[in-house]
Amino acid sequence: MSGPTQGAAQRLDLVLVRLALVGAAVAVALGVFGRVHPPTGIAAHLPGFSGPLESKVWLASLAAALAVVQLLSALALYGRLPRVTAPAWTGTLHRWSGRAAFLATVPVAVHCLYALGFQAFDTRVLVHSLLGCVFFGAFTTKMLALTRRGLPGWSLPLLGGLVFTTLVGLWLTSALWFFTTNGIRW
Amino acid sequence: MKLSGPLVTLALGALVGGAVLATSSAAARPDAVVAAATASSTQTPTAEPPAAPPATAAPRASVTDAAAAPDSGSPLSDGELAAYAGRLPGGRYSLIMAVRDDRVVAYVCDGDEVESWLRGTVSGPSLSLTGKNGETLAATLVTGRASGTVEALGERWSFTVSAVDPASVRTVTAKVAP
Repeated sequence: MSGPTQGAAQRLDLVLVRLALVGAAVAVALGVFGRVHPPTGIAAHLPGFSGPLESKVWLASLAAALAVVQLLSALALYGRLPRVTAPAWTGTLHRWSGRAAFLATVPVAVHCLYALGFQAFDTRVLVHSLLGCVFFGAFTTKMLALTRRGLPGWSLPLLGGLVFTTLVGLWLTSALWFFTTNGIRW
Repeated sequence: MKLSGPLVTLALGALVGGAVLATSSAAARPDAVVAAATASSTQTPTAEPPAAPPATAAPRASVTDAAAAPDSGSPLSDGELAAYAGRLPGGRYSLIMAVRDDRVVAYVCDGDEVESWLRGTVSGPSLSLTGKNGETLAATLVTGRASGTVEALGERWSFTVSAVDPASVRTVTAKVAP
């Protein structure tokens, strides 16, 4: 930390804590909704797929693929890809692939929370329910952190890494499980 | 004031989520039937079902979708065997129900380790079942479907299962053989 005084640095840390609390509140709110709201078992799904689960696993797979783009473009932006200089459009790629990935997860999450709810009847389902709540909390914090200047340099990589990790965990506990249980189908 | 990209992203997500939620709740509207059926069937099941089941009046009034309206009486003719089967939300457990006359048997299982049997009565389109370990199931028969709530194996689910060929679930349907 070269510029800010110690007091300013503490204020920024407090900002980060506040943003994390907002994200935590989002995660808890989703979990409580998923637990309290009686699962309907019925929800809208995308035309072109044979059922809600099929449309969900493919939307989730799209989001997971875009998350890999996110990881690579972020590594490039931070100069962590050996022998790669980030082209000028890397930032735009990162922003728009992230936006698309997030929007792809939203209908999936709505279906999960509305039709199925927060469940804990086996380890996979419990882990998936927890990760789902954490993902949207972490994403909220990351988006809010992007609007603040002067946060510690590790803030965005940490939050981005958390968002990426939870999304990959969500995909492993849902779509991969679905494909290995039911075979790859639309 | 310049619009902030990340905040726009969050707002877009909330908008999309709200839109999908609105569509979903429209899709789940036949659940009004389930709610009414659950409410009416939590009363102690009577030994002899009344000739004109009052339970049918409530669900019908609450349903705007004519296609989902329950049949006036039992959707089954005398002695006919019907079976309903499907996955419970979450995908791990399956539910199979067999109905004949005023008797119904239901079976919940994960196809592997745990299972649960419930028995009960049919009153008009309403099913009300209980199990030995405190399991309960309340459902309404709608053309080709059964919707309701089941509490078993330490879980509670709302479900909709489809009519299936009774011959395909012989073990369960044998339980309601005359």
